[in-house]
Amino acid sequence: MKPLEKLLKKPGSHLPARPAAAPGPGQGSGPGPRRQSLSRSPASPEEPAGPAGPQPGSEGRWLELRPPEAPLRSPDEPSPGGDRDRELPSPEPPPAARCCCGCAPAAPAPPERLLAALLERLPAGGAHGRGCGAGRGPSLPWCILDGVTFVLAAGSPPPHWEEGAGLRRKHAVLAVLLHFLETYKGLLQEEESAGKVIKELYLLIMKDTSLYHDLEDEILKLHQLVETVELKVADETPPPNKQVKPLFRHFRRIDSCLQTRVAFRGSDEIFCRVYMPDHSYVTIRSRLSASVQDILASVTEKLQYSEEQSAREDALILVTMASSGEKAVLQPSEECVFTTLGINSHLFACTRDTFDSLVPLPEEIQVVPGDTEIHRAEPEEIANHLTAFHWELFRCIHELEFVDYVFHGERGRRETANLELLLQRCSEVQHWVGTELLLCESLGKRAHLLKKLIKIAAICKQNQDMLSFYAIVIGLNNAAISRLRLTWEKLPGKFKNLFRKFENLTDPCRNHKTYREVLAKMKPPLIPFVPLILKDLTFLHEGSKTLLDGLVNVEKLHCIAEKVRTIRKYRSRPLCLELEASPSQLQTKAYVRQLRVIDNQNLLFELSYKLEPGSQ
Amino acid sequence: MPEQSNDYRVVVFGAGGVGKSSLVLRFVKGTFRESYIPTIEDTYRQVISCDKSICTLQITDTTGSHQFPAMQRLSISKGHAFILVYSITSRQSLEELKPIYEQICQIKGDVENIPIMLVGNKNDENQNREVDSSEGEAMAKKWKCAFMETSAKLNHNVKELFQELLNLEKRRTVSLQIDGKKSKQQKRKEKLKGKCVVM
Repeated sequence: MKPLEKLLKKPGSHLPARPAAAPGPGQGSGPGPRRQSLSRSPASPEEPAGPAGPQPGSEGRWLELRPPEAPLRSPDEPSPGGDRDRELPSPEPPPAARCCCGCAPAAPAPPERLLAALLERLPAGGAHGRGCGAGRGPSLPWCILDGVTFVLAAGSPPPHWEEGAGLRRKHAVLAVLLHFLETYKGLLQEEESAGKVIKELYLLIMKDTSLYHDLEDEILKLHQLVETVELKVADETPPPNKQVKPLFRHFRRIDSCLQTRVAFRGSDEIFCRVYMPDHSYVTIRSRLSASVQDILASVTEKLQYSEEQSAREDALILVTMASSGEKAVLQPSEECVFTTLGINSHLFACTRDTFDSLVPLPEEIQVVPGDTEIHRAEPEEIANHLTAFHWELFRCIHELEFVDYVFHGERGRRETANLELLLQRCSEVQHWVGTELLLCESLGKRAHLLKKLIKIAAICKQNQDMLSFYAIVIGLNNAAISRLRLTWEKLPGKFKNLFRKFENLTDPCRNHKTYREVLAKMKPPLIPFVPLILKDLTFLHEGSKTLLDGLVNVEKLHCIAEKVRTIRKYRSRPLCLELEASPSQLQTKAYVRQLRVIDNQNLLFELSYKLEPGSQ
Repeated sequence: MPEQSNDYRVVVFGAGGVGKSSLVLRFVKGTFRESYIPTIEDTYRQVISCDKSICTLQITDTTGSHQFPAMQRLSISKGHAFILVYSITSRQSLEELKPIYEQICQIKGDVENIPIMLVGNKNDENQNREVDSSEGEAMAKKWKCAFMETSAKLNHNVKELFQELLNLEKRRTVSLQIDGKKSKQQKRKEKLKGKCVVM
């Protein structure tokens, strides 16, 4: 493991850093180094500290972006308990870890100043040339990333990037650039402005290559990174056609659902069905990030609407409709709408006149009691396939998606498709539990299934798949299920107790204390209950401003970074489950990966009352 | 498995670019465009009469490329009647129908009771003809299905094609002529209503 990553994972670097205790020399851990993780770790064995290099443990010369006195609020509130990062969010930012040697403050500051300070304080000297950035991308603190992003977004690299031609500066710029590239990787393709600045910078650097032989290693690395990121510098043509990915639930394909999921990007092409008021549909091929306008244009073209027709007032509008009949008009400028649809929601194209007459598609699910895979397969198999699939989905989410999901309004829409798909899946599993139980007509069978589902939840928990576990428990707590008194009565006492335990574990009281404690004891790999992470991040985000009078709230960004770092930790090891590839296993796998669910709560209630009318 | 609805499902197959979508859109919307947009899968619905009542004709326009074998199988198993389209300007496109026909046989078993139309489209492009209409007829005979040449561009034989297909359905009476029957029905309803009022 790279020393920096090791540092990052030290327990000492948990989120709300302990109050201000400067790590003693030689200790080298604590909150300090992580803040300065852009720099080489002083403890790195493979790195000869240059003459100007840092002394072990004395991190004083590294960047400290924290104000000495006050983070934006209540800095000195003592933090109860050592492991507070499980109990986030308190809307208060955690107490400040002061710079260990009390070096000059750099924050809050305007983004440009932050960056300048950062570059100013970066390590210098050829000694650091080797391996700069190699495998260390993740160590860059978020605040720095954000700082860079701000600058990039502004499209105006601060002047000192060009001036101050010192080798030291060049090193610094290169180091930042490399980290930036490594963290963002392919996402840069989706972001034109950022990509452009990087390209420009890259070209400038390339021009200077011959002048600075000391920088060769970094430049080589940069070259490789730019290549892998596919930021084609020379030609502006888009990359060759990628394969179209079938995304849609209503576009079920057994063959593709069995393949390992790979991350979606905004430029990916996907298929999507758009329905007409009479439930005719066309399947369009579209970029995942397409705007509503683009989608409507494709539909209009497919349906061969004449130009005058589409130019007239009765132009098409795009509507999402849930299975319950709830509908909403999408604005023409909205983007990436596909992944935000509800489980059984569909897109409809209609004119304003026909909007009122839209009716949802008939429920796909036919009541065929006892016919689904869940009655055949062993609970272990189902649980393992759930875990495996959710791990795939979880792994597909880029760390930035968590940030972007929460910062959404503040920095323009970047795609968070993979995160949205996981959230969608989470609610799908919840409804699946209810659907399967309610489609089970005989009481005995239903009680048996209930027992099985609790067993599945237990195994998921064992697998450290808290997402499936939570979803199943929430699903069983659905009012349409919990009211089935007769069914619950038939449940063996052992399982009743077990479920009571599960309910306690998912109890939201004291900010999900129980769950956070359990999670804290788990070692990676694990799948957290992602919605809770988003809740934490939302609290952090909404609790304080990112920019105030043009100054960056570095403390807040640190907190966000720390939270995201826990996600990195959860995924730091691959999750491997032993799954056979026998035909029956494949059948279970296919079943688990394309659940058919009723997401219409009214319908669930209807079924529930039909099964057990009298019970209260 | 019980029938999910009383829709009558027609599936249109054929190689890419032979004019499947053009035929369907000409029939459903009465329009025609020269531009080519590859189809993935579209379904259009139209009200027709079936066994003296109203039902929905569901026409599924499929993709010409063989990207989705699983979906093709699904369409076949769900379909009641099939239109196999080739272009008279491409012998290759007729050849490409063979595996599709074989798959229909395989999935549906007894093909004789299933309405299938073999269609040579683009017969407005006689100058580029590669497949003689006699060849199409011979193929249809071999496949025990009906045959027709059409032009979506000139709106030649399009409506006839669908009517003919429905006529082949022997298990129930399906007909495009909804207007006449509907009005009759409506008349009857109105009559009844009238009576009710009198009563």
